[in-house]
Amino acid sequence: MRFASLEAFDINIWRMVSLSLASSALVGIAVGLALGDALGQAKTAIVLMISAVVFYIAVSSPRRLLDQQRVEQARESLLLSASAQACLTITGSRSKTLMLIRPKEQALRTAVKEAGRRILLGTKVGAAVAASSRLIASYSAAVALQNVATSDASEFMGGDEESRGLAAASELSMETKLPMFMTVCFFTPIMLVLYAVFSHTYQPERLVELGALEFAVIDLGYYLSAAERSPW
Amino acid sequence: MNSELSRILALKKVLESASVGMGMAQSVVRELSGIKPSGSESARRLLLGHPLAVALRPLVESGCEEVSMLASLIVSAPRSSSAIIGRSGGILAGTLERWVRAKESGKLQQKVLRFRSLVTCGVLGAVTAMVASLGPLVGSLDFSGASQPTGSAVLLYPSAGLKAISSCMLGLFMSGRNFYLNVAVALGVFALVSTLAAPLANIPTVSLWGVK
Repeated sequence: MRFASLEAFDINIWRMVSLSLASSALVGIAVGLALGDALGQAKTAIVLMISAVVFYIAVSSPRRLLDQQRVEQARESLLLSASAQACLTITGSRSKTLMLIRPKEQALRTAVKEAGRRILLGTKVGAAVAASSRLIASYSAAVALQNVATSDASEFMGGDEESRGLAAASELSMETKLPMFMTVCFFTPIMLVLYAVFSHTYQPERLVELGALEFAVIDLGYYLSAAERSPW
Repeated sequence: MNSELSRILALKKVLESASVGMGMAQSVVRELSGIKPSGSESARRLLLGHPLAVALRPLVESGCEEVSMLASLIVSAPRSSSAIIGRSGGILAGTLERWVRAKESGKLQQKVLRFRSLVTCGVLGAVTAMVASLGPLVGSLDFSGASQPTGSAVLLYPSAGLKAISSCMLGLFMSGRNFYLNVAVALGVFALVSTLAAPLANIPTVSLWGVK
């Protein structure tokens, strides 16, 4: 199995899975202790569900980081394209252009530095750019770099199609997740109060345990619903 | 006009002036002097003799990414050519201007969503107050004849706590640092509805055993 997000951050899949399992088990134990006996027999199922959600959040964090990196790189690709075009027109040298451009985004800067290092070691510009493009998450940023190696300065300027696509995806995601989070926030306290009423749970310590359950549920809902960052 | 948009438009004019052959520093002083505070500060620094990279630092570090991108492009001019940077930056400025306008419309949508979350918190406060006030009364109705203690007052404060947690998280999600507005609305409506429902909640329960 290959996952682009794990490869991008050079993370071993089994290490990631075991780390996620450990964190979900820890959260499960903590929630189990916090819940006490307030929920009776339903406690085990609820703790298992919470652990599963924590596992998902932990295991999918590289993908979310990669998405965030992609958004930042897609934004910067325009600047990269414009400054590379200007540099290439002035210097007329592809290798000098690669040495002169200085992106602000960390991974993009690393990729450009890596390409520059390879060129200084004697690799051809095209090969150096192709090798370092693997470190880049955004395809428009990768294309902007590859244009330095292949295209003329006149046919350089990249569009913002990727950024627009990411913004549209972010809006759609928000449209889906916002009602979901609102529903969780709306119904969780009501259901817990109803549970307290019909199970005659009036002891303060049991009510505090229900509060802890509510906090855990809404907090997980918050993390699941947190929207991907829009390019604008 | 929005300050980000005015800075973008001023920087766009700087690039346009540079593309027709004017020096970058001259066009920066001419176009940014009227843009307060970061633009005028950059112009002042340039007039004091600072290099372009130092003078434009207030714009590069302004916090608005679009402004920062354009300012970074202008800063890179000494490494290449002002005229060429001006020409290639013109297209970039147009795209960034479009992004800032999209951001503005996003802010308007966000205001509507914040209002929606306030309404949700208000409704949540009302429903929770009704359940907390009347729930124990309904829960104590016992057809078997065994009397159950009514705990409406006992449940009121914990319900307020549960609702405060939920409205706080919803407020954090929708409004960020202004989450306290959501909590205040939810607590206000909760207090109002629980006060109104108090007479109903205090009706003494009658055993329904034998009632036909």
